[in-house]
Order: sequence, then structure tokens, then C-alpha cells
Amino acid sequence: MRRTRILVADSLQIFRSGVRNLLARESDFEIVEAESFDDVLHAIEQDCPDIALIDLELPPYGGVSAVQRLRKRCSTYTIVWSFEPSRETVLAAVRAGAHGFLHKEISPEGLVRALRGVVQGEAPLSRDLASLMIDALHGIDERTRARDRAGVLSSREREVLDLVAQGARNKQIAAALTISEFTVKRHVQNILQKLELPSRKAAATFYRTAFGPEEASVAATQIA
Amino acid sequence: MKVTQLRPAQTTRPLVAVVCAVPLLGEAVGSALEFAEVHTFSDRGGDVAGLLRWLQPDAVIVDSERVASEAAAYASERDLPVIHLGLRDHELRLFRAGRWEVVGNADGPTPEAIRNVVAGALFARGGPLR
Repeated sequence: MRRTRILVADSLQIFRSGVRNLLARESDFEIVEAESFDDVLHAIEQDCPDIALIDLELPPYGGVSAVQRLRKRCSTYTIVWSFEPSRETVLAAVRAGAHGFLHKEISPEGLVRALRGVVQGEAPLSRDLASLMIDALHGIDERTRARDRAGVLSSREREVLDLVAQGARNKQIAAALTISEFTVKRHVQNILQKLELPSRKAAATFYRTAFGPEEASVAATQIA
Repeated sequence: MKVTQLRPAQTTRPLVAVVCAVPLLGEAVGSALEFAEVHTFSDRGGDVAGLLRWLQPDAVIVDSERVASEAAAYASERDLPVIHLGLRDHELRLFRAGRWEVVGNADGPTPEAIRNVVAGALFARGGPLR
């Protein structure tokens, strides 16, 4: 019987030992260990593993980067695991090509089940992580829809909305964009009309949904 | 907290309780402490002092601050070593004589370091055999 070759990539030896001891009791697994991505490269020189269990903080670039790099060389099933997965890290790992994400607090039986499941096409993802994933995907959908709606705005209206989202008053916006306050008012009215929004506050919320706080920072520096 | 095995009535080996939130640690520690009787319990927010009072181990290994604190409170009156595996900060701490100290080498909580610290603590307590 061909055994499933599992690469455990984790900088903490105690986790590698734990998985090794656990899987030593199972006749269908074979273990290879790596404590960094350099070790991973060394391990795959011989043969690609069937499954790679990769720590989110694997040195030197982290587990998400390791998944991306590993997938360029091997058609290995990759699972990332960590102590406290966040919505962003789970999504980043899946986007990078990971087939699953597990808590390090997983039970030994749960880990064996997840490893056997992944070769049968299952995506190992605990219930709470699946919820995080769905939340993250909803957030992306909402953002995409909002960005599509914002497509009706002119570039000047977009600049004005950016500043509105920062809480700037018409006078400040006029100064930042070197236009009159009257023109700012007209832009704001047009924005509300085009986006079918009732107020400046609603427009600011819409902008944050569409573009996030990071894109509003440029305008903030202009106001300051 | 789940009791996975009952305390043996007669054993010549030291009894080590592993109370951990990360169950895989039990797998790693169990094989590192081949000289001891290792009993692993999942940390599910239960009564740690009650568990230790019942089990009467010779050493305790934990992986969370909460359990470390509760185990230390119990251990301080009984000269019982408590080993805390700091998985996030990669440190190994030992509670003895009423205080915590960082022990082991720079590699952190490796199975070998844990074995050495547990063996040393048991020996200091009066020999590894019960």
C-alpha cells in the first residue's frame, strides 16, 4: 500500500514531534519534517509530498508565502495551521492556494481525520473558520458591488467623496481641491443623486465600504 | 477537562500530568518522557486544582497562562514542579520554590528540553522514582 507522504513545516519542534508521534501509529502516513521554507525546498528536491501542513508563521516569509511558493513546484494539498486564525489570514491562505486551514488546538483524532479527508478532496476547515471565511467572502462581495456603483462618479466627484468620507467640511474640501464651496456643494448633491443616497453620512459609509479606510488616507493628508 | 486514564494505584515511575489546550503537545511530551507515566488532559476551563489533588502527580506540564497560574497555586504548598510551555513566546518556564523562572536553552520548548527540565525537577525533588 502506498503511504500518504506528509510534510510538516513548523518552526516549533514540539509540533513536528507531536504530529510525527501521532502519525507513527497510523500505517498509511509517512512524515517529512521542515522547520523553515529552506527545509521545505530541500525536502521537495527528492519528491513532492501528498500533503503539506504549514505553520502560518513558518520562517522566513510566513505560511501564506510558503503555500504560494510550494504550489509553483508541486501539486501538493496544502493546509495552513495556526494558533489564532483571523478572517484575513484564513482568506489569505485560501487565496494563496491552501486547501484548508486548521487550529493548532485541533485534537489528534481531528488532525488524522482532516489529513485523510484532504486526499479525498475534502477541505479541512473547522466550523468556526468556515464562518470566518463566509464573512470574509460576504465582505468582498459587498465591496465589489459598491465599487461597481461608484463607477458612475466622475474622478472629481470621487475626490470629493473621498474627502467627505474623511469628515471634511465643504470649506475644507474646497481648499484641498482648490475649487469654490459652491462647486463642492454641487458635487456633493450630484454624488448623492447618482448613488441614490440620502445624506453625506450615508455617502461616507458607502465610500468606506467600497474603498476601505486605507484609500481615504491620501485625502486626509490633503486636508491636514 | 477530560480524564483520559485513571491514576494507576501502583507505579514505580513518576507521574506527570499534562494539562494542555493544544492536545498535540501531549503526543510530543508523552514520548519525550519515556521514564515517566504521562497522563494527558485537555484544558477545557475545568478545575485544575481538583484534578491535581485527585491525580497527585510528581510534576505538571501546562501550555496556558491560566492553567499555569492555577497549577502554581496548587503546587506552591506541595513542592511540586510546574512546567509551562510558552508556545507563542517560545519559552520554557519552571515553577519551583514559589516562583517562575525561564529554563532550557534558546530553542524553547523542545521535547528534549522538556525532558531535561522535568527530569531535573524530579531529581531535585528527591529522585525520579516514587
